[in-house]
Amino acid sequence: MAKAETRVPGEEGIWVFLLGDLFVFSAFFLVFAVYRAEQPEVFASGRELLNRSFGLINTLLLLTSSLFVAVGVHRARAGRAGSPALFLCAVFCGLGFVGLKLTEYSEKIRAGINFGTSDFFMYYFAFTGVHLIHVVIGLGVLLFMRSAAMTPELAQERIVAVESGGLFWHFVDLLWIVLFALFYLVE
Amino acid sequence: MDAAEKHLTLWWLGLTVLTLISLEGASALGRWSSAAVLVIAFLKVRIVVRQFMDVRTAPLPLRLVLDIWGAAICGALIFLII
Repeated sequence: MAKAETRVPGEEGIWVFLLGDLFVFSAFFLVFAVYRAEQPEVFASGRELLNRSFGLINTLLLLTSSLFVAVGVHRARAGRAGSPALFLCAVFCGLGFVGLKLTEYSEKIRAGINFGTSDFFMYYFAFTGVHLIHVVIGLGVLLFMRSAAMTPELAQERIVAVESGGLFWHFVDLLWIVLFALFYLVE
Repeated sequence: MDAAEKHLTLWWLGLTVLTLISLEGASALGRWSSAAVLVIAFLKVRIVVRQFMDVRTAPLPLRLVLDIWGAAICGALIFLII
């Protein structure tokens, strides 16, 4: 029986970066859980003050953007039309995420909740803020992917660059999935 | 839309359903709801990694590293939070 062909998607260098970043965020997740275990009431009352609808809509925006990116990368690989438009749709989803996150931050700050309110909100602003920076960088990456995919006949190295950009965007989505669960859902 | 795109769209639908279950359905499990929320979150992470990031066709070491990472962090979080 023929062995299924395996390949590393994207450039190998992007995986070194992603695994390093994953290690940093894993430390964030564990630090949050350790402090949560020490101060369960503080973290429970902090969670009650978050707007779960914002978190849900942002999760759905990133999941949908990931679908656009995955289909766009697939089409770029197959040499089919439509990738630039799909990457642009992902940009709009990402902009929606940024807009909603900033609305959420400003709502909290107007209510007198900030970095120093409690350990819960210190981690909330710090970790979701670092993630938001990733989203903004990801928007730049998506625009690069869009322009790279505009060329009708994509050279192999360009396809690999588009794949690598797609990996970064999916990684941003993946981090948010865990942040959403930790901050908004875990009781 | 070809077969691969249909496949990706179905996974997206699955991710959306899992998100809604973790939002409302998991609370039905009482004291285990937090564990359920975390298991669902890491299941979603695995779907994104395998299906959207194409790790399902990656060499075994990369698949193993990501699977072990997911199981270890999910397990540690459940241990610390429950």
